[in-house]
Amino acid sequence: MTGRGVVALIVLLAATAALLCYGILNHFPEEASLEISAVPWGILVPGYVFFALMATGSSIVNSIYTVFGYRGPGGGFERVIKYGVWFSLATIVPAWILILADLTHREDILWMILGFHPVSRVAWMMVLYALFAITLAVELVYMIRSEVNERLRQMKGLELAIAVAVLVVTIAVHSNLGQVFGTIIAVPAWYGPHLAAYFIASAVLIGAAGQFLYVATVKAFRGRLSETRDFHLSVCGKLYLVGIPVLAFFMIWNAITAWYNSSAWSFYEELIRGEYALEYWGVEVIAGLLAPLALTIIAVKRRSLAPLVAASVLLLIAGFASKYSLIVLGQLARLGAEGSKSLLGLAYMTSHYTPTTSELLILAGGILAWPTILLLGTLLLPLDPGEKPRRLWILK
Amino acid sequence: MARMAMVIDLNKCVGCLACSVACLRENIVRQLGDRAEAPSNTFQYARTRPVEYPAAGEAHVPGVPRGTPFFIQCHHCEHAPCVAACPTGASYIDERGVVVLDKKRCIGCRSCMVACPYGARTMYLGRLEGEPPNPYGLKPGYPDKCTFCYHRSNGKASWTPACVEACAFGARVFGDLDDESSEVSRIVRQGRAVALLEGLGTKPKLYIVLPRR
Repeated sequence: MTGRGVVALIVLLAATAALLCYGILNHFPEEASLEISAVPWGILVPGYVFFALMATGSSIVNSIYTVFGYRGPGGGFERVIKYGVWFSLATIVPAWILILADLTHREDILWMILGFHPVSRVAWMMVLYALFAITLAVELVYMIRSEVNERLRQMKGLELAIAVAVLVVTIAVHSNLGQVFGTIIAVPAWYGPHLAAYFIASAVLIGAAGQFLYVATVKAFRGRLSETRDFHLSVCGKLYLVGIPVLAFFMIWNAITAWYNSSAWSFYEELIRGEYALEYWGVEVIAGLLAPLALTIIAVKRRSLAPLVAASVLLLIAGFASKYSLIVLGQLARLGAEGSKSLLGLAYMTSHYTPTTSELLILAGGILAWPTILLLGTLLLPLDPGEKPRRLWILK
Repeated sequence: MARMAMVIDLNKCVGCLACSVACLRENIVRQLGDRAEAPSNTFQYARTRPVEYPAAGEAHVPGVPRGTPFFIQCHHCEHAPCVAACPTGASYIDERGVVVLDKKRCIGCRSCMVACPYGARTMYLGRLEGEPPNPYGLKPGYPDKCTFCYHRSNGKASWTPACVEACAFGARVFGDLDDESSEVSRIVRQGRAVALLEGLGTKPKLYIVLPRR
């Protein structure tokens, strides 16, 4: 553990704790009550979905090596796989923080187990997240332990079984998360089976982008970026060049499907040529699809990591923006929303949603928790190839 | 087993809002000595919320005069999306077909609010002094909706919700759909009342008699 790393960890921990504590203690202020029936799920829900997709998407990226055996140029995947598995595991934590913080009765969370309601997609999320975290933790411990245990290293069948279990659970998490929204008939923009497929396409991109930024940052700090440069350019380049057109296809498909349903179309109309058109075309289409595609082509042609970094940052920003518009704005166009109906001369209910200060603070805390947890693991865990466990007795 | 249901006859409704006021008094407002404690923007939390339909700027619905009073409230669906969405079983349908919330189990995820195609559920997040007016009354931080004044049942086969009692024009009728002698059952059988968004398959038990014009 380096001195600089420990200082950075302490600073990040303090800032995360301060933001989360202040935000959670001041969450749901009285002013918010005017808006909540119009938009029950505010900005913290897209924040949660964003991190959940990033974690599961990066897990799919890992499976390219762990399940399908692709090692990448110069066996690059072997150099980064433990970082990748740790990234998937660590990234699910901010998702949990954000969704827990958004509950109005967090103290009763045990009812998710005691009152498990199998018809509810939300109830299954808890089960699947637990399986996701357990299988990833088992996979990571296996990878670390197999560095010091020859017998474990020889058990290739076990290694593959664990990897397949992780992939199956990851796909199940995606499908179920898609159906948390896809089964809600009250929100036409969500309703249908298409969201699971859209979520997977989006998840692979933001998972690959987040994971690349994390691994490249660690390697750069340790002065070993050149070891994995070709690997990043090759694997990330291919993923982006294939993934971005696939995501664009799903976005267009969603819009075309909505065209035939006036309720769903009202949401897309707002996005495409309404109040949110600038955000949609500017952030989701240009910054989220066209620019990363162009930057990836430049990166691959010039063999330069800088444009790939820029493409990854843009993919993350657009990944969050698209979840925000889908989830928050989708609710403004839901059936039964009273947005435009005046309460008989008594009051008027807004059809707009503005995040409260406490929501923004919690979101900032959740976002900051992400590098904090990643850094903690990077300092404690032996993630480099051939590195022996030295700090945590459980891994020795 | 019973299937309690309500009919609102918009031909008889004059928009006096006695129903909403009665609901507020019965379920929302807390009496603290000579002072009443209620949420800000009180009418938004009436469990039968009056709206003008269709509102200015909205598509005109043939046969429904502009400015017709209409009420947003729980439809006590037989296939309730809110019940299906609830991860803890806090929202459930009781043996009389009334959709109720067990606050003890509710974690405040608001899935039920998002899932309701009728926009029936609200949640008040401000502070309120004192205790709710009845065990099913509004509590801040919990999803809130019409319970057909369930607390009035006291184990009886039928009861009268506060809004029905308050309506001087007989625009609201409440009873058991399975009881062929009940007025609710008779109106529904005659086909005079419609259920909203029936195509969604939610099997709502709030029926509306649309204005004749």
